[in-house]
Amino acid sequence: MILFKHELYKQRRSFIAWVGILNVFVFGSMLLFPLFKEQMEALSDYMASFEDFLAVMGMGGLDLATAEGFFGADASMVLLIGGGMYATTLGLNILLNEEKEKTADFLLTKPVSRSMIYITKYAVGTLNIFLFNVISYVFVLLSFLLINEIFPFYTMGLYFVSNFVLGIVLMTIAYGISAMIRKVPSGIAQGVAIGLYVLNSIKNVSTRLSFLQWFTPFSINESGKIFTEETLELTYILYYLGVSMIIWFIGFIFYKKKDIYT
Amino acid sequence: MQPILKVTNLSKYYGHFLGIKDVSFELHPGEILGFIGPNGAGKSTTIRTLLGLLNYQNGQIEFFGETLNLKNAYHLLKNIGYTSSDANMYEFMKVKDILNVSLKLSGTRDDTYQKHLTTLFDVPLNKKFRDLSFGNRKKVSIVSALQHKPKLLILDEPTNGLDPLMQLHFFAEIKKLNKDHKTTVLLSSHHLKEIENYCDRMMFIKNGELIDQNKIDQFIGQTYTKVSIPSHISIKEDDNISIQSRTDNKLSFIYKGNVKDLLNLLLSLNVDDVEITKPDLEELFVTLYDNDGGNI
Repeated sequence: MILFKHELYKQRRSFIAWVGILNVFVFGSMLLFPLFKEQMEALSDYMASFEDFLAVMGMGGLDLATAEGFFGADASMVLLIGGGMYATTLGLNILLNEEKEKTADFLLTKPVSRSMIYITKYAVGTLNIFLFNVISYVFVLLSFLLINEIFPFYTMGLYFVSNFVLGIVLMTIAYGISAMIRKVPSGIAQGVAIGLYVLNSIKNVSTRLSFLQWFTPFSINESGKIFTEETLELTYILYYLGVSMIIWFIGFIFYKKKDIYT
Repeated sequence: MQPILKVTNLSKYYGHFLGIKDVSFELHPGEILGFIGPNGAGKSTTIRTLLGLLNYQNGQIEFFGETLNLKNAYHLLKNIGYTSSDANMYEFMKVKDILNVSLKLSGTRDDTYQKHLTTLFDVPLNKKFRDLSFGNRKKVSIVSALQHKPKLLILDEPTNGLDPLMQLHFFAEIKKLNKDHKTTVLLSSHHLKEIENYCDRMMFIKNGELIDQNKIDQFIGQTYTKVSIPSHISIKEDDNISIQSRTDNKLSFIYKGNVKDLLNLLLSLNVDDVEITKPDLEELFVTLYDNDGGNI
């Protein structure tokens, strides 16, 4: 518990920064919706002719003239990409930072097993991703209330469950990989997250590229599908949770035997 | 008496590069053992391997009679206090929070001794670690290692960066712990006077291998002797003779071996004027490491 609290305390700054900045964008974006509502109605008809483009961006079937559609097409992208970047960064750094910032000697010479460190830090990462999505959900709810729009509790719940699972998958994969390496260039986590998002968009371009769906966890969370079909991508969710847990477990085996340098 | 720490033929390689090879030594309860070697000789590798931070290829490590392995390393660490040479801790945390976390992780909540140490070392408790000088960082590291009164202290260059007064406080506290609680100490240091003044035994490491270990008074004056003879006498360096200096009229060398053999040597050289003294530790260090610097 001490280690858990200690780790939670250490992570608070980056958590507040990511949650704060992304939700300011989302909140601000939703507050602007009433100003654009009329234009959005016109734009929605116009955009309907760009069905393929919207599908590529994962926004197929969304009605931009509604707050829900506007969220799915605009604000949700911030949470999707930004949340993905946060999850990957968190996963890659939460364990590796002890070596990068040369504090591993402090922690690993205390009577705490490496297994406990590995599991506890991961639990803190999971809690951070969970809180990130809960807080974001509340912010979106507040923004809907402020602009007098009906909040779609169910579909929004589905979106945030998807976003939570996506965050967990990205964080878990990055976490497992971080246990197997010694150093990571700064900025790589954000780059990887954006790269995977782009890969997901490419996948939507042609059915010939649909195999890419098995190489990018962003397949889990496509707002267009969630808001129109009101369903979770269970196949992808189970597949990517399985893949991430395998990588997590391999990382666990590595970490228990890893040489710790300063 | 069962040793607190028993290391047998310990070897560690970094890929193909040698870290340490066949290191063997024992550390008995209440003993203070000095660990000497130049930079890169293998001191930190030995210490980090003992602490379970590095894996090792061969050998055995026993703490308190238990063989160190992945399963029990953390449990054994309960009785160990460690200061690393560079004293890195969490930059954004306040010193008091770091020390409290350290204390709790070490398995105790009694902060009486922590309070004594922070007062003694004048530790700035309310400052963030990033705002501390190197000397103050070392103080935090020392308090963190000592505050739970461990049975074994492993100290890697603990006094680097400390002012002379704090160094005195530090060694007085170590001696007190050693006397009152039979705390055993492994002290790695470049300050040879510290080793000479505070250690019972010392060991030298060179190129990853222990080259000598003994009691301090055995080393100085018995195993190693400083000899000065007239400079016109011809003498060659070998495993036992290391020439220190040669002036117009005097030649000084360090002799490794017993006095009887030394006297036989001097007789065979027809030396009629000789001065035999105890070398200091610095002279010994130079003798042992001057050839290749001990780099691995």
